[in-house]
Amino acid sequence: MQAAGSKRNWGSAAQVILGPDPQLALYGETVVWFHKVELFRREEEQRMYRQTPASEDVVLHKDLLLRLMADGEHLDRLIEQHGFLANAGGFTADDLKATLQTLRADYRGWHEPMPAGQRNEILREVFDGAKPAH
Amino acid sequence: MARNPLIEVLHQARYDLETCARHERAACRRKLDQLLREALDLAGSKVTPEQLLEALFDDYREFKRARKREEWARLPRGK
Repeated sequence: MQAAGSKRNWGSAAQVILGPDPQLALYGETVVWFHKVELFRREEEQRMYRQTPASEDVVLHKDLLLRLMADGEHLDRLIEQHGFLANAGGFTADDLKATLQTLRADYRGWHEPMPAGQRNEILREVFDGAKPAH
Repeated sequence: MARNPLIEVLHQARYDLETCARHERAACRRKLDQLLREALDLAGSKVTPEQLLEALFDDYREFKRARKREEWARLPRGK
C-alpha cells in the first residue's frame, strides 16, 4: 500500500494521474471490466458454442480475451497498490483474481492447447485410463 | 459411453465458476481448486491443478456445449 506522505510529495501529479480518490475510480473501472467480461461471455456463447466458429471468430475471440486479461491484470496491480472498496455488490479483489484465472485458462484451452500426447498422459495418470465422456 | 463421475464433478465446478455471480467467484474458484487437488491426491499425481484443467479443456468445452443446449432448449423460440 502506498504511504500517504509519499503521495503528498508527488503533489498534483499524483492527483491528476490517479484521481482524487483512486479507490473509487478503481471500483468504477472494475465494475466496467466485469460488465465487459459478461458481454464477452454472452457473445462467446453465441459465436463459439452455439455454432462452429469461423476462423474470424477464433481470431477475434483471442484478441478480446487478450485485452480482457491485460485490463484485468492492470486492475489487479492497481488494487494491490491502493486497496479495494467494500461495495454493495459484495465482490472483492479475490473475485476479480478468480475471474482473471478463468480467462487465462480459457485462453490456453482455446488458443494454446496442450499437445494431445501430454493431455492423454495426464488424463490416464489421474483418471486411470478412464476416457472423458464427451 | 459411461461418464467418469469425477470428471463430471470437475466440469460442473468449472461451469459454476464461469456462470456464478461476481461476488461468488473466489468461493467457486476455491471449490474448484479443492476438487482438483483431491483428484490429484487420489491418483498420487505430481501434475499441477492448472495442468489438469488444461488437459480437461476439450472435454469441458463439450460439457459446456451440452449444458448450454439444455438452456437454449428452455428459451422461448427466437431467442
